[in-house]
Amino acid sequence: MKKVAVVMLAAFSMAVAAPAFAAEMTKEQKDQCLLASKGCAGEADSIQKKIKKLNAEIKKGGKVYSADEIKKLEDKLKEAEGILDNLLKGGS
Amino acid sequence: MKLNKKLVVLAAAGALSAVTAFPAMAFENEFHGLYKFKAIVSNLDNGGTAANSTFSVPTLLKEKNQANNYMEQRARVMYIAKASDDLKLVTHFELDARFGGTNGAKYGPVGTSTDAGSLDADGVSLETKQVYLDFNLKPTNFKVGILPYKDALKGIFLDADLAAIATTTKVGNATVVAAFTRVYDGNGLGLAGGTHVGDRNADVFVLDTKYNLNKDVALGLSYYLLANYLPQAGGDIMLHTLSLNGEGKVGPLSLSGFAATQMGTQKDNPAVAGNSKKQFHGYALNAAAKVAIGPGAFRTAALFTSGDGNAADKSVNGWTPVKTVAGTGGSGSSVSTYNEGGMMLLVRNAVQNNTNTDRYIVGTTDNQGKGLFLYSLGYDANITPKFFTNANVGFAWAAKNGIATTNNATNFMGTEINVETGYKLYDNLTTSVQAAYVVLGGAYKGVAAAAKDPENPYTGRLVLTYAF
Repeated sequence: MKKVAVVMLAAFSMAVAAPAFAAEMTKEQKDQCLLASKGCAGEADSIQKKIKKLNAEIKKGGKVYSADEIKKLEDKLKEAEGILDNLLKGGS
Repeated sequence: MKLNKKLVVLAAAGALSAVTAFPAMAFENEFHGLYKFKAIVSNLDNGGTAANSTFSVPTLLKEKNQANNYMEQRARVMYIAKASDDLKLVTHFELDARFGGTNGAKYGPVGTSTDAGSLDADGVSLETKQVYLDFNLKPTNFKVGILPYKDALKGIFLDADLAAIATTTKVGNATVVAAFTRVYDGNGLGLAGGTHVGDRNADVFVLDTKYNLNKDVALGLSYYLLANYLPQAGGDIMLHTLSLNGEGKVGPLSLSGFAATQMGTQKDNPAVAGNSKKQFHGYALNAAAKVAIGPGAFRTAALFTSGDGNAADKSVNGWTPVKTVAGTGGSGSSVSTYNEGGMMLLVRNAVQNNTNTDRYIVGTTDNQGKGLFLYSLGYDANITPKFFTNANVGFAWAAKNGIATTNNATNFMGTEINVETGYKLYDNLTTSVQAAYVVLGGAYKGVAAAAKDPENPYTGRLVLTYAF
């Protein structure tokens, strides 16, 4: 049983060793929070900040992101710009 | 037994790592919002809502108007519950208040309640703007609920929040939006004439198609059906609107435009005054260009909506947009817009005029059946990343007879000159000053009391906008 416990523990610690927190991205890293809504713990961006970050990530281009991922980021940028327009636009 | 134990361990470890190695997508709680403050001095903005049109309201076009001065605010709070990229609930609320309070009909029977602008606040003024579910079943996106919709005609037919079931499907370079919206429920509004729920309503069916020929050029074909079978004046209508629209870029030059035609009938209904047999023949045309020059962009645009020269005959030749219907509990506001001219007073513009009490000379794009030709020129300058200014000039004509019947009266409604200049105090906080002046044309000759010419409309606004 001890062995079972050790293996379980090992498996568990390996699984959680990968940090789930948002970290500062280097130039070569993907921003998983923007890309896949992963590791966003505690973050709350204003809509302008989100637009700025998405633009910055899209600029990283093919070196960091695949074509599909860039398309996804572009869709998210369009969505964020839509939210800002919706907030600012008139109409009762 | 040993083997079994090992298997259990392996299975448990496998399951655990499968669960934790790829963390499930976070459930996102997104909050966004807006706060806008305006201090206004104007002889046209008068604290009322953006009514269908003020074209023929001489009280707003007196020979000697006194300047209204007031302050108002608008706050919007948006909460999005996002389970994944493919599923979210969008909720969006609005709180309007005029400093000192106002007791319009939307706050309860007039005189019984106000917005929250009066002493000690407490007014009930939380309004629903949008509440809808948004989910993807690829390749289709579904939106169900009270959602924003703007037509492919730059808003001149319908630009509003409405209860709808809408789908957007992208296949290759083509995008198809198909939507059904119930804009009025006759039974729910207590109108006499319907026998059961779903019997007498007003519905709009939408089909917007768009095809991207390449990265820079897109063509669209749209069809809208307004089926208004409410048992009241303005009902018994089947109105078809068909349009071709396009946009493209050539170097620094952006071009866009559309052509739209309307056909349909109003049935004869002797039970309702005014609902006699009529046929619709309206049309609308638009062309616009924008080019980057210097520190900003130069814009020019023309819009034409047809007018109806004879309201008494069986032919409605004027452009017919969707309108709010009197007596249905609505606030009587306009649901068509035209933003690209940048007008502040001549034509309803939902971009620059975005609080609760804006007034316009042309409130709805049909110009009360008279039709409209608007030509505009403008320049948007970003002088520094924080400092911006834009200026516009617009010329408006009624497509058919103006309101004045005196000698020398013309269809020319007026020339608007406006300027907005602003500064970004923070990324999310902008302060700006807006000023607009309209030199009224021959269409208003002698329409004020005692056959005098009315005073030229103007407005000056100090604006503070925080969006996040």
